[in-house]
Amino acid sequence: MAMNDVIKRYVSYEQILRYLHYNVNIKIGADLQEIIQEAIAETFSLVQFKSYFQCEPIIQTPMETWLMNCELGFKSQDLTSFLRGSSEMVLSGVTLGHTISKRIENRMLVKPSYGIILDACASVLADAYCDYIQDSWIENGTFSKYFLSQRYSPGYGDLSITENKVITKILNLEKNIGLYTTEHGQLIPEKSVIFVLGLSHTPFKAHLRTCGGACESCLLTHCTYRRG
Amino acid sequence: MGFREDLITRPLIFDGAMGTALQKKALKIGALPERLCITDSKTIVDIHLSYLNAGSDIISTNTFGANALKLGDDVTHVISAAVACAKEARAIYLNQNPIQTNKYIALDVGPLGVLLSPMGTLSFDAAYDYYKEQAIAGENAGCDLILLETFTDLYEAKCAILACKEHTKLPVLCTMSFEATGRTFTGTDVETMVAVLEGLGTDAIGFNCSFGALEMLPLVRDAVKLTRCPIMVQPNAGLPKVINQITVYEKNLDVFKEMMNSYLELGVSILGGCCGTETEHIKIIKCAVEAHPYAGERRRAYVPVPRVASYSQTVNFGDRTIVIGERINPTGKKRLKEAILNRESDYILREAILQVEQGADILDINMGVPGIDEPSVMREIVTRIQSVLNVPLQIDASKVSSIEQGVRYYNGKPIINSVNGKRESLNQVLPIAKKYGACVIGLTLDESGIPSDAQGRFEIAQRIVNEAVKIGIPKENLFIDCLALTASAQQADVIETIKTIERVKRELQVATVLGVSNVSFGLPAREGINQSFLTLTLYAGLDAPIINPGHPHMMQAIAATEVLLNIDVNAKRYIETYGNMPKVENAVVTEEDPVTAFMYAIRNGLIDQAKQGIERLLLEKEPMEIVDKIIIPSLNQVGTEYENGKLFLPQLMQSAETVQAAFEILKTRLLEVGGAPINRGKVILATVYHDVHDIGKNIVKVVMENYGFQIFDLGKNVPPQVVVENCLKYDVKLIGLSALMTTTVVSMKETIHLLREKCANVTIVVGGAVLSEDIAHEIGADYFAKDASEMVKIATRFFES
Repeated sequence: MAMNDVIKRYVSYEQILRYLHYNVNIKIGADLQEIIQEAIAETFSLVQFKSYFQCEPIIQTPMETWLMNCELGFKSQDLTSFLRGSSEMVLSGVTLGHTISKRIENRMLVKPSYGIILDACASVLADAYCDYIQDSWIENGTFSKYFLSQRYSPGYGDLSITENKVITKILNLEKNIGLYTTEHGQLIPEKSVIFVLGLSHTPFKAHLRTCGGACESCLLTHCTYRRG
Repeated sequence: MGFREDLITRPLIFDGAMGTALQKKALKIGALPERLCITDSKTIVDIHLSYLNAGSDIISTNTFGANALKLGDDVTHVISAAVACAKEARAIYLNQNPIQTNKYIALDVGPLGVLLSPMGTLSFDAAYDYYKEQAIAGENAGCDLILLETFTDLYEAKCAILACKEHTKLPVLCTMSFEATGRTFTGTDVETMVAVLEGLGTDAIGFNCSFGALEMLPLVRDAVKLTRCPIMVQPNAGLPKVINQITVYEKNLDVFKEMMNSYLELGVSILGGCCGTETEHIKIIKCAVEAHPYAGERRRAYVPVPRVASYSQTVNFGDRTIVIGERINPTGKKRLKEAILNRESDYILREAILQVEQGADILDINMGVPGIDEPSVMREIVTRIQSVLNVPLQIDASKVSSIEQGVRYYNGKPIINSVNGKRESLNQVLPIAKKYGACVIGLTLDESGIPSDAQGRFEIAQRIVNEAVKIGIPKENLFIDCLALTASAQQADVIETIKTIERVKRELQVATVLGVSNVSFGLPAREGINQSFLTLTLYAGLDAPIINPGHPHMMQAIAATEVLLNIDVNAKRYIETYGNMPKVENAVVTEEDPVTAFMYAIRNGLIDQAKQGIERLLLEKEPMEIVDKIIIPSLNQVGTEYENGKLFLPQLMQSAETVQAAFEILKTRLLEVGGAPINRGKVILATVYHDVHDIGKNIVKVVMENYGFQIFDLGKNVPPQVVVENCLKYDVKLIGLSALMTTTVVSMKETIHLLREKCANVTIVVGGAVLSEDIAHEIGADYFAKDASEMVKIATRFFES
């Protein structure tokens, strides 16, 4: 099966609607449903999936996680606690490329109702691509001797989004997949994700994807997914 | 004999990887290898010497990342040390091998690691300064040439080439890294790379890194057919693999050897290695070169083709009719003129996008409105169009400074519109076309005006072509406009245009363009005249009409003529376009109350009905009455339903774009009757400095415009001083700032602080995912708006008070 078809199975229609502030009281006409399907198809036609990862042995102090092979580390209690028990850490960057971002900008000018749907589709697809990569590591036995934690990204908890710069540098993401980080840690192309996950010889406790539901400690007070 | 002479005499051999050699010496991740030129110069000298001993003609300095972004103010120091290492190695080698061919030192320059605006955040000028510093340091230290390598962004490559060529006399080589798709990460294909980099006067262009010699071969095969410029290759040793946390490259020396022979047979002029290559690879190249001792380009058959390019798309002239969209030219267009004056770049971008959707292959861009800083507006619009479209642009200006700004900051190979036969024009415009490698349109007029006969116009065309070729502009970059005169005033001269096109095509063998619709000026039913004239000119050999692609009859005339002239073989394109055209049904004339019908159209996002509705309403109501009594209450109703969770975002935006379409009709009507523009108050919107996410701000903008506010959208990543400058320049008292990330709330605070300091009595509203009432208060804002509806309410209260 082609990679696109496999990734399609990870795309959640409900997630797309959630990005678009949908609730169950809203009636979505057939026209609009068709437009959303069209946007999903167009998103797939415009993305260029690229990913890169590297596995690094780590050492942890109560507040910090350090990469043993270089002089770089992360001062984050939340990440350190998330990775507790890991002996190694996978650092990864994924991107959907520039074309989709340009198309979103283009549609926002002439048909913003479609532009926002395309934007939502691309955001969901970026997440779906990460899910696909994680599962393919498991299926392919890439880290067969280990249990894998869920993924964790700069911007979650107290791990500053500027840590994206550190990971970009370690993975040389500009050169390897064309993923850049701005001075303040934002990613270009916009539909990109940088994440880490832990490798451990014992199972992890957290089972949830994304930020692990630690909403009370998260700084994104208006996040669509915030609970409570 | 110098480098340029050597380049056309024999194949030249570059060195292999520096990074691989250093990695073997266990350089730590994160350490800057360039500093080794100072701290461990012997290692660097030894690596250079090993490559010279293996057969390299050119060694590259250990300066790939030696720019101020990575080294701060230590650039000149590091580059001097790096060049000294290379010189020392060369001296040792020449001492040991006195009878040898020339050995050259190339200043190695890589990308900055920050993406240029508009895709990224770094300005073209800032990037230019970084490269300028490197180039000057390299030349002063004694380099023989500059190698710009591993570029994936064509715009950055252009910027670096200009910086090197404008500040040194050194030869400049440039290589880019491609993906297996045949494009770079930013979307450039081989044809486009070649068109742009050759035009900039690069001494050799080519490919490096990404993959091995085998995978690079198809790209090289394409490139050698597309240019007369020397081609260079520096492939990796093979495909990369990560083993035990270290990237290694497949090593197959037999394949490498076979490929080097293939490259030389294709006519490649410079060969070397990138990641993973070592001295053994260079020895293989040396053997291959000894078997193919003649300079590469002598073996290549190249047929020049007129071509223009954006950053990712090349348009070739000759295969079919090329449509140049004419609508972004304010002459005779009040609404566009107003948009240029008011900085409504979104309106201009929409016009650009629509023309492309209607079939334009190239867009003409003219910003000629009195009272503006035309060169900077030209630059801004050219830059912004590149962020949403990838068709090539035609830079159209009478001011030479506007032409140069447009061409310089364009990421591609544009057309200049235009030069003419006047001496002053030839002297000013042709050097710009030459320097930037742009195509240029020659108008057949001179100091005596437009000759009425074909002979006179042909002579001017010939003069323009001769002058251009004399200064080194290749003939394929020249287009001639034989000028259409109006049939109402100079009827007898119309046919002279057609005769001139025939002669220019036949005798000068250059491409032709023509602004077609002038011919019908002053006559009724202009469509018929334009269509017939267009057909005649296409038959005479016109390559590219400059027309409004929004006129279906003109587009159909082109398609039909291509069928009749057997250009569109089997009428394939014609049938594709017109084979399944829906039948046009007569508009339904509704008896419904026009106000109710219009409000229903807004609520349900029915654009066509809304357009019809507003026309009906304008028969009996004043525009402002429609805005205040119908549009705003409708929008309020939609906003309330959205807030109450009865509509979701796409439905809100469908209503918004319906009102947007109706507003355009209202604005045009007001301009036609000279009425006061719709303006409920001026508002600046900006996504703050260092923040590149602006979809939320754009939603706010669309909704606010629908309420009749005049929005000055400063875009994303806007420095505080730019917000202040615009606030003062346009006397705006309400400012909306957006930030999506916690890290950029700091920029928001700085912007607010500067606004308070420099602009009296401004009210500041902030919004964005990470903000709240508390944070807004904490950073000194007046209001927090959670969404677009809230922002409208705040603005309405502000301007009513």
